[in-house]
This record gives sequence, structure tokens and C-alpha cells, in this order.
Amino acid sequence: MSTVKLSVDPLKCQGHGRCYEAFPEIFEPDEQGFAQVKIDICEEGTSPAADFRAAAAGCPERAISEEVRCD
Amino acid sequence: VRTGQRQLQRSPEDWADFDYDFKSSKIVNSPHDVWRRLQDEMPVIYSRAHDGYWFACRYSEVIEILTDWQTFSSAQGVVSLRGGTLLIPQEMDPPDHRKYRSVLNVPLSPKQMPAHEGWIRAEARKQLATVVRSERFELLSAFAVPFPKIVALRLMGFPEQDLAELDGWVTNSIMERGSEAATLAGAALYGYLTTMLQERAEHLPKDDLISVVQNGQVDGAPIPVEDQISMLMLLLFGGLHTTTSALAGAIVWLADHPEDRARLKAQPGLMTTAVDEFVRFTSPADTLSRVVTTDTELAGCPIKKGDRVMFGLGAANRDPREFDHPESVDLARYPNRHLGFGSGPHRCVGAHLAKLQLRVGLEEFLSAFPNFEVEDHSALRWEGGEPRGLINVPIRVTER
Repeated sequence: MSTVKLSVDPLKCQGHGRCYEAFPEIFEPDEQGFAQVKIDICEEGTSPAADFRAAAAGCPERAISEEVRCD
Repeated sequence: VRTGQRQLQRSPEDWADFDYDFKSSKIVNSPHDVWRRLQDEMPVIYSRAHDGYWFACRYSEVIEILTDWQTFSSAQGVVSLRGGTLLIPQEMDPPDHRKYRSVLNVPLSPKQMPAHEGWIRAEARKQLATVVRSERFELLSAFAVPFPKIVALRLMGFPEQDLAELDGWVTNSIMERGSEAATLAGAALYGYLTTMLQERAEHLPKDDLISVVQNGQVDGAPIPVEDQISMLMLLLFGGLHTTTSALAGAIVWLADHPEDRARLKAQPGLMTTAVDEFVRFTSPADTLSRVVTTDTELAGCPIKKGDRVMFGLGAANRDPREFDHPESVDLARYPNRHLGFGSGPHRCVGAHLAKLQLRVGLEEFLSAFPNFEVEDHSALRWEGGEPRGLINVPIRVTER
């Protein structure tokens, strides 16, 4: 079973908000509008994993990245 | 050998005598064919116009310029033809930029926006009520200009009775930049802001952006008054005409595309992606610039330290290398990595407010006028070229 670790790079995120507008169940804005993850780990093949990849493709700053772990 | 076959691909030499001028009537009114050809053939080109500058128009180079702030500095201004005050934090580089920017980020963050939606919607309705029974009206003067203007000035905290005068100064300062009228308007605005800040300093802070700026701290110290004025000028210059242009451009698209009006009516949830798409499509902040801090290369083109590089957000937003069918509005477009609000550290601080205004403005317009058209396309007029947008749009209401 593999899991996907989800994160937003705080050095790259500029607060466009395209991730938390499109996928509010996974991302949320902080007080200044920068994105943070609400879920930081999920199983491969689930809808959060797919949504996360879609959000990564939609980020103008390429600030959203994933790390797949096999446990 | 086939004769008469046209060679479509031109060579760089063909552009040798071409001086790209962002203020020319061609670029102001109908830039897209030029941008597309430059993207294909000369993605970075030198122009002798306006004291000389480079122009970059592909998505890849534009985002490189926006992101690499060390090489492409904002600290010597980001628009051409403006003398005088540099605007904070837009015309400042990190790390100072981030300190000032943090002061503005909080009140303009998406978390604050729901609290503003109600009064912004009431303002949209109030503006539309003046024309709701009309069969024809001019979109800019009836709605697209006054609605965002009143929202921005009220959110900032300017008194209602000063709005007309403030608007006059802002319009003259940014639209006639470098002229005597602009200098006078800029001076009048500066004087007004100085007096207002002095008066307000003697009273308790209010729940508005002026108080946020006035009570903001940078490096643990209060922000100097001249920096406060610069920040307020940036908010005035950045937030008024740009939202107007996006709103007007969106309404013209919806006038010409009844099928998209129908989609928005059937699926109101599309408005979130639609708003970003309209910002991409209209790109009101069309062209910006940076000054290069060190000898560098852009798309293989050598650029010298001290050179000014202009870049097309509007052009990048129509780059087919990034967007499928870039010339069309796709209400559901996602991903949409458009650069209409810029990118990198200077990403538009008012973007979330602008998107709220666009959504509410479009929802209320479509609710007041389910069916409408542009009465005369030959009457559409544009103004440009750094901020670029429609300034005259005759609308005819076709049925209620």
C-alpha cells in the first residue's frame, strides 16, 4: 500500500488561491492568504490524491508537491 | 517545385526595423496577432520606443521574470513613463517588500472577503438600479466604472464626499502619466493623503485599510508617513481601473455568447473558474516592467545590467504553449495558471477582493439583465497600453 504525502512549499506559494478555491476540502488559506494543506497524507488511488495532483497542475508558482511513500 | 507557396515562418531579420510600442493604437486596440507572431518568432525583442526596452511575451519568459526578482528588480519602477514616487510595496524588492506586503495581506486575504460580500452586493444592486429599466446604456459609466470604484474607496475608508475628487486625481495620474496634468493630479493626491493621515492620527483607528496602513509595523516600528502615502497610492492606482476593465471585458464576452450566459445561469458554481478565466482573457494589467540587476540571458537573448525589460501579462495569458484555445473563454478552465494577477512575490495584493467584486458584479448584472447585446461593436473603444481595457461599451437589453 502506498501513501501520498501532500505539502505546499511556503517559500514558493504566493497566495493566488487557485488550489483552495478549487479544492477547499484539501487546501485552506492562512491569515495572509497563503495556502496550507488540511490533509497531509492520503492513500494512493483515492480522490484526494487525484485532486491534489490537479491542484499541483493548476498552481502558477509550482508550489504544490507530493511525495509517494511505499509502506 | 511548387511555386507560389507562401512562407509563413519569418526570420528574426524580418523584425529588425520593428519597434514594439505598447502605447501604439495597434497594440492598444488589437494586439493579439502581433503577440502571437512575436511568441513564435521573436519571444524577446528590443524596441527603441520610449527610451528603449526589451519586450518578452511568452508565458515561460514572463513567469521567469516575475519569479526571479533578484535578476529582474522592481525597485526602479515597474511601469514606464512615470516620474516621482515609487509605490510601496510594488516597486520594492524582497526582503523589504515582504515586510510591507504582510501589512496589506491580512485585510485583503480571502478569509476577510466573506465579511464584505453583503455590502458589495448591495452596492452592485444600487448601481444597477439606475439603469435597470433602461433599454440601452453605456456599460462603463453605468456600472463597470462606478461599482468597483466605490467598493475600493469605501473599503479603504475614504469619506463618501471625497470619492469624486479622488477618482479624478487617480484617473489623471495613471492615464496621462508623465504629462503636466498627471504631475498636478499626483501632487494634489499626495497633499490630500498627507492631510487625511494627519487628521486621522488624532483619532481612534477605524475598521478600514487606511487604519491598517497607518497602524502597520515594519521591523517593529511604525511605517513612516511618506511610506504610508505610497502604499495608499498603490492601492488607489491598482484597484480601480483594473477591476473595471475585467468586468467590462467579461460582460462584452457574455453579451456576444448567450450560451455562456445560459451556462452560468444553469451552473452558478462555474463562477469561481469563470472569474479567473475572465481575468486571464481580459488581462487588465497588460504590461509591466523590471530593470535587470546583472548581465543575464532571457530565451538565449543577452541582456545588460541596467536594461529595462517589459513583459506582457496579456500576451502570456494568450500563449498557446500554456493555454489550449487561448483566444476563447472557457468558463470551466482548470488548470488555469494565468498571470493576470502577476506571479512571484508581487502577485496582486488585491486579487481576492477583485475576484469577489467580479463574481458579485457579474452575478448581479446577469440577474438584472438576463439577455443583452453590444448594440454596436464599432463603438467599442480601448485604452492602453500598460493597463489596457475597454472604455466605451453600448449595451442594449434584448429581453427581460
